Amino acid sequence: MIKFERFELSNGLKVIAHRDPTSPIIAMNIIYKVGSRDESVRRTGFAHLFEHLMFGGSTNIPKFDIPLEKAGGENNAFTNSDFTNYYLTLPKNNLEVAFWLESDRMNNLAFSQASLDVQRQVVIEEFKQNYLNQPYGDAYLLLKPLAYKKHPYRWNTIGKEISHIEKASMNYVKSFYKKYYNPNNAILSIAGDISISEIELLSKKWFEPIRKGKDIDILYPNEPIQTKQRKKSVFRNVPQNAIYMAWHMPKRADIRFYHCDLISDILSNGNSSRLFRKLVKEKSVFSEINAFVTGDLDNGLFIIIGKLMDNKTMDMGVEAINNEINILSTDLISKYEHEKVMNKIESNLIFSQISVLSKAMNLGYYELLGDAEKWNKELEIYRSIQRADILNTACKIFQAKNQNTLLYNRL
Amino acid sequence: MHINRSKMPTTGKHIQLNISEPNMVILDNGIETYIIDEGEVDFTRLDFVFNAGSAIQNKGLIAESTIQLLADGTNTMSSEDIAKKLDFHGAIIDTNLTKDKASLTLYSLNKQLPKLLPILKDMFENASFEEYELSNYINRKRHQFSLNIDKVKFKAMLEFNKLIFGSDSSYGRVKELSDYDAVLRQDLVSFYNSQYTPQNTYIIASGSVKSDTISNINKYFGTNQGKPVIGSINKFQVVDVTSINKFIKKEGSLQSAIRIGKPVIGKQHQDYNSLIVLNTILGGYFGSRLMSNLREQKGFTYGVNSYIMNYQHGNYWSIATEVNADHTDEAIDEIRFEINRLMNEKVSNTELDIVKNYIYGTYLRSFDGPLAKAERFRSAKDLDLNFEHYVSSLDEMMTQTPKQLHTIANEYCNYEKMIVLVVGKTKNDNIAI
Repeated sequence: MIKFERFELSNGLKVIAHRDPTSPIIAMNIIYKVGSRDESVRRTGFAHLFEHLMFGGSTNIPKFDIPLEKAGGENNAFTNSDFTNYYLTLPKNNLEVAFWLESDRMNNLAFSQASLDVQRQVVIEEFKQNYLNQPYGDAYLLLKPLAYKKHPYRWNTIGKEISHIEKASMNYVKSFYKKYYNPNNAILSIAGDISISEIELLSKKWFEPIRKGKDIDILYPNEPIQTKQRKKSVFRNVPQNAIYMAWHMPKRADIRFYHCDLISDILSNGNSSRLFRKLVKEKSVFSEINAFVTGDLDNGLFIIIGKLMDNKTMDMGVEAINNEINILSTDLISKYEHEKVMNKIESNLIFSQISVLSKAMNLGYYELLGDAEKWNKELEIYRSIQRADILNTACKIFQAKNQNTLLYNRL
Repeated sequence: MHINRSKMPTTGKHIQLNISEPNMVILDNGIETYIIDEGEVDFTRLDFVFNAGSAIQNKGLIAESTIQLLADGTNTMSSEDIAKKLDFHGAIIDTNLTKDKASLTLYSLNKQLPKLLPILKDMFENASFEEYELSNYINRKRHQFSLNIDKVKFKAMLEFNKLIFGSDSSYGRVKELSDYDAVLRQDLVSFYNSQYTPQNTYIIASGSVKSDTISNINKYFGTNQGKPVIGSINKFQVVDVTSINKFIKKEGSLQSAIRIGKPVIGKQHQDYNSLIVLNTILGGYFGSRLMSNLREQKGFTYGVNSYIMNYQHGNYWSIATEVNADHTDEAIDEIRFEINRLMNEKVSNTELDIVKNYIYGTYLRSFDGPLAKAERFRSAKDLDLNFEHYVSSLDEMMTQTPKQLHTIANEYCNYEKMIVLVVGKTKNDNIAI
């Protein structure tokens, strides 16, 4: 059980505080509810570029990192389809520095043209390094638009193309900031050797004067239900053939998300998992294979990725995966397998409750899902799932008409 | 409430590192077991560390295959049996290989430990390395290798290691595609019998370590007396290296991987702590000179860093980055400029102050909690050091002056003595880099 206190400032900022007296380190996490799903189709990659700009100086702090490093701190950030997450850790007696830093960039950015020019270049390098310059790097750039036709999940967080990032203008940066980077669109969470009253005091002091923004009420376009199997084949200079398969699945808040998560564990979590056992070890169809869920706030994807052995054809690979999927859709998993995945879930969950950073991040994330207390209920939810639930959901998800296949061929 | 946003809140005094040496328990067969018991969460981490690193092997891939195949079958359990049991009890297992050591780490809920320890015991004492498992493993790894070798970063990592230590030395040899065809079952069995013995093992138990866990550790790992060793292990080989620069062309590559560095002094040397501070200034943190220059001012790269690698018999200092291939030559020029700057001018007190505080914060973070401490203890122990060493090093780093650093920079940071490696493209393929 992770105990925490929660309150809301008059400007709408939600604050969560967890006390861990054993650590000399404080972790602070801020989630802004803006991700690549909020981008327009002609300006993709912007939420992530913006994350970089958040380090390029605010009104009173020309460079975010310098004072933080002076206070013995370290930080980083990431952007995904749904939100942008900033986190930092620093020695506990420098707690107020964290409040000063994060509140200043929520209060007002400096909007430096030089920072925008450089960060555009940095992000373009990131695009090249992770998506273009390495084998299979563009697979998601291909898979997402195959699976999504309407919903903004059809592009990746890094963006659809480099030209979108090249075109990012200062005017757009400003309006984006004004729209999304507001206290009422953010969640602040803190873990460490703190007192709750001190957190209340500091939150009021540094964050409450920040003006509330306009409430945002966005409706994302619903992805139409897929009615026909989709396939795409590409040829690239890669060492081995690979198969990417994706099925639409329910959103994170849906109970069936948990079913899908368990299915992905049954398929590929650990050396006794089905795909590894049968398709890698026994039949040597793949050299590696993985199944996972995207866990998005809107309806997400169930993904399987396999790298084919040289002496196996694409057809054999596809058939092998489909066989396993069919078994899950027809037979109940065994009691033994059921208990196994539950035990694994329990280990991982407890493990995530050890470090202050992980605690601050998770509390913020579950609050984003609707209630930080959900983190404490997570194991209970998993435990409530019956084998029949898993079978039912597998049947629904793994229909051929819901399937998207990307064949990534070696040239 | 009035607030002054233009002024940074005052920072507190440095908190003393709270690290006392772990308790050591000697198992019945002599294995040293170090206990770091501080956990609130009912969880234990166990590190089993063996003198079985890649420098000790006679042939490529033997050390790596041995540690990675431990869970793939024993005399009484098949690979599937082991996998099922480990997964069933929620074990999280990691293996790790350095030049000096091989290790296996188990993370487990305390309630599951009694079920997991006997399985690990069997893996450490009776691994069978079946032909079938070996060939299956080798086939998969060969695939992964051919995938990785296409990346400029991976290629650079291997090549640089050869340049630093000499490609025929124990530390300099790196894996090659042809190694995958030469691994024999017997190589693994011999290596396992000679290196996975009580004399070559130590254990770290961290987290919420209960007394019955300690007695279980002795029960399962304290009885093995090892096997008689036949044959001898590889003799450690060192070769003289004359620094050379190398350029490996990679057609169509969007980025070039750059590695610049040289062998340096190790942790026991009196100048080492000064060198760490210099390294941090140069490329050891986000606000470092290389990062500010190459990433924040020029946008040549997504990241650049510098670091010192320590092994039992050698250390090296390296700068590593992947840059936009069109700017390869300019990036090298800037790196040279920043290295020379360390020698040409004294660091300002302001910058030094930031770096010291950053280092202090890093230390505090890296000792946060028993699991993190286990990690730190391991890296100290592998170099025959202890926690006390960290405390005195940190103290020493905190007292460095610009003048001292300037002297040390002139002793160790001469760019002309560094090895430069580029994998990718440069404007002029024939350049002497």
